[in-house]
Amino acid sequence: MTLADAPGYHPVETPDAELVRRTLDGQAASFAELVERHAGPCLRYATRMLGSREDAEEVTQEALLRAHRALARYDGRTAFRTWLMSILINRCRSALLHRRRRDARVVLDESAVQGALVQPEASRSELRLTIERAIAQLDPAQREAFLLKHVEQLSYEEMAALTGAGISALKMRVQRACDRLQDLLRDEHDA
Amino acid sequence: MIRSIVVVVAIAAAGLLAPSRARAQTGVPPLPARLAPATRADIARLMDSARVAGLPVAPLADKAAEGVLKGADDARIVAAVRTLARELGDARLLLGDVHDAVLLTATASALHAGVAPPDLRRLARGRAGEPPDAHALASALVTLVDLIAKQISPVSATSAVGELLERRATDAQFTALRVEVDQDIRAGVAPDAALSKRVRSQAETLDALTPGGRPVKRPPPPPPAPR
Amino acid sequence: MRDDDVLPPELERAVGPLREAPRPRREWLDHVVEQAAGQRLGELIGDDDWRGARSRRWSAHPAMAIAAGLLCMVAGAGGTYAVMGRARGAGRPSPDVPALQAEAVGRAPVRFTVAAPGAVNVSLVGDFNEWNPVALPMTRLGDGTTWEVEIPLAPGRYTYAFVVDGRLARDPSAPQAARDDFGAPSSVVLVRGAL
Repeated sequence: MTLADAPGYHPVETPDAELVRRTLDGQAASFAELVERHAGPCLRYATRMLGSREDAEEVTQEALLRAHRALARYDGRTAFRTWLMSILINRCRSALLHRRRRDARVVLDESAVQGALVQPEASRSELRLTIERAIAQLDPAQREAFLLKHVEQLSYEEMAALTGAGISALKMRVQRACDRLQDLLRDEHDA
Repeated sequence: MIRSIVVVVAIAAAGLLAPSRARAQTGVPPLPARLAPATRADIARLMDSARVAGLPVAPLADKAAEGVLKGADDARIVAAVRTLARELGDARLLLGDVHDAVLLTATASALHAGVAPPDLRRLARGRAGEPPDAHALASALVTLVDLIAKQISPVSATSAVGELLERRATDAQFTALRVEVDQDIRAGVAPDAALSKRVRSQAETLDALTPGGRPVKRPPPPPPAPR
Repeated sequence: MRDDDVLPPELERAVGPLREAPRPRREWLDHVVEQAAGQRLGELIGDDDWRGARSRRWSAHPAMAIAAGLLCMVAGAGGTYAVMGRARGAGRPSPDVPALQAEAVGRAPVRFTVAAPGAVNVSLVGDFNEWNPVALPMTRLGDGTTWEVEIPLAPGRYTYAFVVDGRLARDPSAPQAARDDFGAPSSVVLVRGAL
């Protein structure tokens, strides 16, 4: 019995779990659809987490390929998006760790940040540049928590499961991130 | 579905032949291709040192393959292989001039599980003038590591296993100890308590056997006092 | 007391637009799909992809492990599988791997079983097959729950485990290997030489 056999099934959009099942069955096109569906949100998170679109593409690709290899382990109990997110979060952490080793600079170079963030073709407002720069300056743990909470809009329960941190620790990180971002925004505004 | 099973079995047969043949020729499996060349070089170096020292080399390659399957990164794999090589060397020192790969790896495993070398040495040497038979010692060591994995303290586990070994316990008895302790733990008994209870009963059983192996007739135990 | 879920207005104004997902480049998307098509499904990946508050995913689902353990105990200690590796089924060739009999000199057939209800793919990995998850697929028995495979093994000590639908599980009826550096459980079998 597959999902498609269930009474009342409306194929408005093939659910992720069904795409996973088909992929495991050998239909590569189903995985292509999963990629189309989830790559954008993955890039959204990875770009802000890593501060570079190029790095984000590399890491997102890594995460998608790992997900593909491990697809048999997806048990359908959590949303596919969540499962994929857990892989992506760890890939981002790993990338930051390696970057930190290679490049001891803590403060991102101003021009490098401006050039690397967001698609070049999108019209970027001053505010957008500012907030992106500010997020890039957050401590990684705070950045991660802030992005998951307020950009990816996950619940604290989901975040706890994904990051391994406790809910109160996460709340504190988000709080601190918000305070710091507000300070940074204010500084920019006053400058 | 059936078709895929046939295909899988064919692949399995093919896949199984290649490694066993390679192993049969050299006795040592090749290092996994997934490892970076530098990693393979490190591991090959460790294997060479082990070979020169007369220690078994295949366990080192096995450990690398295990790490690859378990998704460990190269650094972790090299560290694990290095640790194992060291533990094999320590096992040899402990056991005396032993070349039995099974005993060496089982002893190395016990060291890795946290058994203190002097306790292991005592276990391996047995009572004065009566070292245990190699098979029995191997069973004892494997049981010992399993008990420790169940959160029993290395000291208690070593002592328990030693008691059985002294009484010439067989494989079946070591297995029974393991399984009974496991049952008790699942039923909620604390690991160390489960162990001492089961070891006592095994030891009594073994003590009750005459040298010929026939059980001695014993009066039945008195019924428990009513409360 | 701040509401955790709501951003202060000035931050909300700045962060709101960030929630829109970017459109990935077409060439990049195609490249990812192409790479995926070129790799094999079902390879295991590291536990580091699931670091989190959840307990490690390496062991079989807890209910399954308990069920497997019970099954093995009901079958009798060492009954379904020779825990200390006592050679079993002498003279009983396995029809699935006929080519191995030619190399069976000095080896005794050893049968491995595990209870894995609901599993789709189960295989055996260990020192005897370089931990290759596709080399030794197991066969599901008529009861729909037990999986088995029999292989010839030369005398020795082998570390091994089962791969159940892509997840590693130790043999609940066998002695555990020492907690290793890879964070995933394994089992041990001792195969005796002929006496």
